[in-house]
Amino acid sequence: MTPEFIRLLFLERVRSFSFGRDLISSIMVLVLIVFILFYLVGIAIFMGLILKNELGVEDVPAFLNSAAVYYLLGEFILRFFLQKTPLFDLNRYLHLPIKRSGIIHFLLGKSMLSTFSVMALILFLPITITEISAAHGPLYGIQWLATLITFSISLHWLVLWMKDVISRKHLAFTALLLLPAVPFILLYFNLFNIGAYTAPFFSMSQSGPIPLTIAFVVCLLCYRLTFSNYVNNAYTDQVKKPSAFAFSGGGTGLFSRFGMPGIIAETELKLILRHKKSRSYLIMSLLFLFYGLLFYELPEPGESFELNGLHIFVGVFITALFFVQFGQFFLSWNSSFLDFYLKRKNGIRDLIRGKLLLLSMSCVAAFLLALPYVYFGWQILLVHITALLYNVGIGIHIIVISSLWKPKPMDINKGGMFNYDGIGVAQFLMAIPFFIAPYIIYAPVALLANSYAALAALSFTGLLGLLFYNRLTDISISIVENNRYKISSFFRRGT
Amino acid sequence: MIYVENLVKRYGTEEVLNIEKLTIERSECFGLVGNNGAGKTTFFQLILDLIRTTTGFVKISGENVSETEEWKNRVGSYLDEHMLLPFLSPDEYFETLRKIYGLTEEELTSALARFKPLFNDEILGKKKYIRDLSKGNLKKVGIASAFLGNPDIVLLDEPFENLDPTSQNRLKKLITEEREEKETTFLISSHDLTHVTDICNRIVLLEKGRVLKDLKDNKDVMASELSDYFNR
Repeated sequence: MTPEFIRLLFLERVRSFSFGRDLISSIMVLVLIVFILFYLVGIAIFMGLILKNELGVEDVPAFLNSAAVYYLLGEFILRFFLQKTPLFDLNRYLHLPIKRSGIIHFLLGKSMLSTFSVMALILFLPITITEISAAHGPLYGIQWLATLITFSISLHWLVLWMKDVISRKHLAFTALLLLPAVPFILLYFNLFNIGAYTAPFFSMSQSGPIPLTIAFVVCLLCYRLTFSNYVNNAYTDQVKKPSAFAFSGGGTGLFSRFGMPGIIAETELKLILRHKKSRSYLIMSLLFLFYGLLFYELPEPGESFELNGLHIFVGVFITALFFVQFGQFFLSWNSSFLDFYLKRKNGIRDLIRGKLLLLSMSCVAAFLLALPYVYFGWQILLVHITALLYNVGIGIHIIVISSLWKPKPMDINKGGMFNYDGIGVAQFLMAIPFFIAPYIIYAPVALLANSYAALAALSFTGLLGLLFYNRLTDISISIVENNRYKISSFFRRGT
Repeated sequence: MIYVENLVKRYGTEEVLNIEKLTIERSECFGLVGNNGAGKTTFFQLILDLIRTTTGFVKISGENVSETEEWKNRVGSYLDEHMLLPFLSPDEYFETLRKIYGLTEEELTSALARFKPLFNDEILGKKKYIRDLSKGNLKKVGIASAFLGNPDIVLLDEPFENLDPTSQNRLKKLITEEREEKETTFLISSHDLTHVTDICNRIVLLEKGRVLKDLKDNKDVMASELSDYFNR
């Protein structure tokens, strides 16, 4: 059945309504992957030199034995955020005489096609050859590397299992994620080094294949765990579980002063709160409010705050994250009921205005929530005001207009098994123009004059955008109105 | 052929189906009627092991459907368009099913030949994806796919819905012939009382997930009982 499944997946991709859009985002992801691989190879090749010359490590194999556990923990965290859960529409196959387990094996096998699968190999192959094998012989080297890779593959299954449990049970399980971070924190403060305790295990490769065998068993167990979890949940009724949000958000009256767009903004807000996918964007945006902590720092005593180009990016990112995520599927959220708006007078106009209003408000809300960053300096406030003006004045339109190119129909009610698409890398990539645009204004002015003048120039551009808010909105409206037959016929046919 | 015991499906505290005991015999045409929300589709989904039972079990020729998958070779079904592959043309879809059921090309051609009147030249040989078909034609593709692979049992959820009157009659003829020739068991849910009473020798009336009436053989009694119930 596997070749048949591969053929069907291929056909589904190629015949998708939004093939062009998907293709471009796939190409961008591919470019990114090539870049990442390139960097990984670079790191891998120079790892030995860096360890010896920069960090002053004398016994590289011994160091790697104690560092291995940190590598695996780090990979786990990275995988958790970036690794995709495989998607599959079970409805189409469950009634046919195909084994349920066969479908799941295929699905899990497919998920192995990921950069992560080769990461450990690429990163550690050179150093295994040049250092470990050189010092302790090739047999040890091969076993050592194989052990690490097998653990890395175990992580693959473990992450799939955890993501599935979290998506169906409680977000509270996310707290488990903090566990792998604990050893790093302890190490940072020099309190405790678990590497010292795990190093003997990895060094046992010297005396035989015991670690590899154990890793292999762990990997099999992890696969069994994921597999049986998937098989047991491979039913078409998954949702129907009353959640705290199920009936949340009655009228808030928040937007009542804005007339018809306000009413639509209100219904959109309900849509966001009542669907899992949009809710996960909301939670993600709230989490990323803390993103600034990584970049903003208090100036050293006696020095003044130094404004730089990175601050703009951080400011824009923090205040815009929700609409960058949500706005990229601008009309897709309404794909199953676009006719509701099409059939009424000025329906499309009101819909777009309402949605834009909501997106703008999300920016304002993020701005308000990010006010405490003033602690790092009043200049941060200036940055955030500029970011807000840019986002609402210009940025919103960039995101929305680009989203109107071949919008995808989306089934927002699907919340069940295998339909949890989270926040994909592709989405961040599609937003690159949005993040670059402010620098078109900022960079030249900052070079010719100074950063503050550049900030002012960007704010001014944002203000101009605000001044012509209606005009800019009309662009989106006319795009939708001119393509309404095409868009709505796509949407009516469903995903 | 099909044996159901103590079958209960609950979502949270809400009970959507509760059948104590039910046996469907070979070559029976089993009609399932009831108002919206009576549990017709849920019953079919449970028989096909598409959703989990809360308690109880369904057995097809002695096999518990949630424990084995052998029965899937002998059961054809069409509940809704989610069971189709929307990105294929009907020809490609039947070809895919041919591979899955392990039929020869001749077997597929002769199986589809029976559907020629029903298809009315609108399904086969057309350069159109399933997702672009009208609701009626979608249904025809689904029904035909349920008949593939010589099933002993065929489950159809609302097969007459969306079909034009001519097609409805052709479908009835098809079902009757199939039963006479191959002793196929049919399970059909419908809101069209005339059609089910015409073709079915047994009709079960569901109300709020429970079996309210189980009518057999006498068409006049069936018709009058059903009309009494639905004209309340």
